[in-house]
Amino acid sequence: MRLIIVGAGKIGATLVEKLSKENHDIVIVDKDAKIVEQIVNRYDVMGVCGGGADRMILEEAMVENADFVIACTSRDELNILCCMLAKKMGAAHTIARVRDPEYFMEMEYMKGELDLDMWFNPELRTAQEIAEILSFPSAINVETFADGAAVMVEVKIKKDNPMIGKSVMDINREFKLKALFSAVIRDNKVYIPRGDFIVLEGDVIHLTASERGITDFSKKTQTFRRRARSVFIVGGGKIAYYLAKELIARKVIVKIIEKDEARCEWLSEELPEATILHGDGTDHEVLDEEGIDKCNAVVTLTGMDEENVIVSLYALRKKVAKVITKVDRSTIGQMVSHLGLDSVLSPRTIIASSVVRFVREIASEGKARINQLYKIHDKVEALEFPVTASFGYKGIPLKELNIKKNYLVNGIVRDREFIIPTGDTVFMEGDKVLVVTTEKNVNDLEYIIR
Amino acid sequence: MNYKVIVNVLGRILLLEAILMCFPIIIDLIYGESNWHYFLIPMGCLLAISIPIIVLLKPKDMNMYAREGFVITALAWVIVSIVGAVPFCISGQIPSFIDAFFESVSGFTTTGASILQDVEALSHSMLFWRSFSHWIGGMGILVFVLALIPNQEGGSMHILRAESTGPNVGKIVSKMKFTARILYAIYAVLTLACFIFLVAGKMPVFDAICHAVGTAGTGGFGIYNSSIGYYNSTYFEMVIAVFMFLFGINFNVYYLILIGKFAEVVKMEELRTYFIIVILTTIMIALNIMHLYDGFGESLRYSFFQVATIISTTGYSTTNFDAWPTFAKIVLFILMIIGSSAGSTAGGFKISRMLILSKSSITDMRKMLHPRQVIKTKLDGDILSEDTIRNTKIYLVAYVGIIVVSLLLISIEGYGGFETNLSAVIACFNNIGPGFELVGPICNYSGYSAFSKIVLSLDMLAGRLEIFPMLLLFTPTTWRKN
Repeated sequence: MRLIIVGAGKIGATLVEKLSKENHDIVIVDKDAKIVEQIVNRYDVMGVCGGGADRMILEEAMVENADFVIACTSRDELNILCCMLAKKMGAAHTIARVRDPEYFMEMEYMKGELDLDMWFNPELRTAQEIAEILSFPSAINVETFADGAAVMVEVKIKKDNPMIGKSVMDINREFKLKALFSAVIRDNKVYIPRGDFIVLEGDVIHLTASERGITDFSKKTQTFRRRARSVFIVGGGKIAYYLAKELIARKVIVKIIEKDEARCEWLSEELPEATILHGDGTDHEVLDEEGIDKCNAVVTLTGMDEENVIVSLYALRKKVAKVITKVDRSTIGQMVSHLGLDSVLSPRTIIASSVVRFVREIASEGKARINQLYKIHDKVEALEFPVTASFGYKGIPLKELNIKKNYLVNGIVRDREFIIPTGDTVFMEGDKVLVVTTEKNVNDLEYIIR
Repeated sequence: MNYKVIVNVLGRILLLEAILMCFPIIIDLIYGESNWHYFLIPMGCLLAISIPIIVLLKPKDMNMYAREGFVITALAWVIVSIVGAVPFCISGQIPSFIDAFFESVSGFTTTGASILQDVEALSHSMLFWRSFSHWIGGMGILVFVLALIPNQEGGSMHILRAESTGPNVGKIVSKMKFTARILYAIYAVLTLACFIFLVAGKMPVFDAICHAVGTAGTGGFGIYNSSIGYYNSTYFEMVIAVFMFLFGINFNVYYLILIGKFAEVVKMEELRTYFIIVILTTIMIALNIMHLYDGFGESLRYSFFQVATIISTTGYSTTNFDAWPTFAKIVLFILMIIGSSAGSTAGGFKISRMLILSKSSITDMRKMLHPRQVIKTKLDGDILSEDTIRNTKIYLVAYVGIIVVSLLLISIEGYGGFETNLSAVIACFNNIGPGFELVGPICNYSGYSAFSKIVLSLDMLAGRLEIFPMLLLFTPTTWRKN
């Protein structure tokens, strides 16, 4: 695939990093020569220096035979213009980053008019991700598959967890779980656990189950925490706005604290159900006064990574049940992982994986498509494939299929029902199959069978 | 510094050189001169060293930064040249190892300066190896490796930048491996074209091969004592002159023509300047030497060949231009320094650097008159960044500095006068080959002492790699741990 990425900001650079690993031909376009040079030195890509809506520049980037143009500069108008121009000049697919709520309202309506194949809003995606986590507070991270019929949760094994020291097989026998161990991260290494794998303290496990299965699991392993009923949001930016909207729709009580008065006014106009507070979210007196310790969850969404980390640590000390921290620089996320902050999200990694998935879907055109791709870790992915009419291994029990090493069939969703696969399970048309793998660039279900 | 990655890449280069040594063995078997074992011995050693390195020393991360890029490039060239000298030395055809090293460096750096009194005494396989090393070195041995390594992690850009010529090195397509492959494909096709033209003119196949690869790399090792002059054929001279001229053009031009972007080709100031320089100097010299030959046509023939061979830094000769009038010699001397286009196989200071320097100087002078004027220097219609201009100025300083120091060093022994020594340094450093007087087209470098030969060899390497990789190799900070 030939890709042109316009804008080498935080998101653009992350996209280059992720997509160059997938072996695509990438051209990065940005006005800033220094940034372009840095990227060209780091990754095996070509750089073009100039504006994204400049016809000469796009021509130089050879837009006429590009499969994708991804516009992710900080300016929505420029991104849309760039995509329109690129389509006119012959690019096959265009993706634009559009994040202004005003534009976003009309986006689905305008998508066809503008001939965009995909548009993405990092703030919105991040907000949705946070909302998911808030509905399973015991998890660090939540990913839903097959339209919510299957859920993959990321849980950290803390001290006193009854599973510590037991093998996966014993745990299944003892707790009668309706869930499947998908992956375990230990010391930054990933294992796809077999039956004899022993769970230790500090492991981060990934479990796949139905929504009920997860609740059941967290009750039995005493990690259960109730779905957040009141949420305190620090910082009133775009993510906060989208998150508040989402939470209000789920009947959650929302408080937002924001420094800028004009912004507060706008928020209170747009979100009449939420309590908008004008004040400094990093001031602990303000936080105490507004009862930070009384709410179920705190989400820190200010523009400063450091502020978010500090406020989150304060919230943890106040024994808030669930704390979610947003950091823009993913390196900070790694640096604070020892401080006890478990749900640290970075919008750019979230959005990068959805763009990567979209590109891979198009790349596997004609063949069985991927419904979903979720990066558990740098080296492990969870994928959802539909079983189509042309799939050649229907009706054969799993134990008779020769499934390749490094692949785990992680669950099957049939008629919105989550099935834990056993040796006798068969694939049927219309099934959605979840697969966990350490291999890269998998885009077909048949590929996993030898 | 990531030592493992350096060793691993060097291992791959040694393996490549071992494979390339198959070609002279084939030539030898064809001619039945039983010199093949002189290549088989170093080849065996290379295989014995390189394969374990590649298999056993797998670096954990393939990350390379600017420092690794410079070190890999400089070390690779030194090692490849040393290994390339072994067949000459153990066969006894060039008994002294220093001489053999000089000859080998001269080959890989596409200089074409020789220490051989009698070239014709060499066996066919040795003659082929000498010329073939021009072809390998012309486009760059590391670029070849980049074309072969399947999926590089980041950092390969630093190698391309360190090995390719010119102030602004860029990829032509986004994948390094395809960039390298496209460059080599253009290179190979042009070489083949040159070969076909020569054979069409009834040049013996072996001669045509040697001259085609020598022309492609803009090297200049002849296989006769009187070089191309041996044939005394206008057709051969014109074919070779035209191809020397073509190999002095930026290879990006050929790629742009291939994908049909003629507008961008026309926009390139360097290309235009190259044409203008060649046409003007050819006419100037032709007029100046007219009295030596019968008629303008004859003098144009010699003048065009010499201009093409000098500006493309090849170094083939058809006549003893050392006997020409001073004006013609000075023009040739200036051409030696200018050299050809960036991104070609030729050496020299490069026309694009000349353009950058002169343009930025004009800008600066205008600023002296109007101190408040805001003015930018442009090349090919794009604004030149301050970094590019500064780097070019630094390059000029290093360039002059190396010439001065080398001149001083080779003058210690007292061989040759001012003109000989200066032209020897210029001809080696700019990868041309023949200079004037004692190192002129009918003479050679054998009179220099071993010490001066080493100095000149390092000059050739520094000139081919455009100074900085070699300079940094000998800088202690490069090797410091932190």
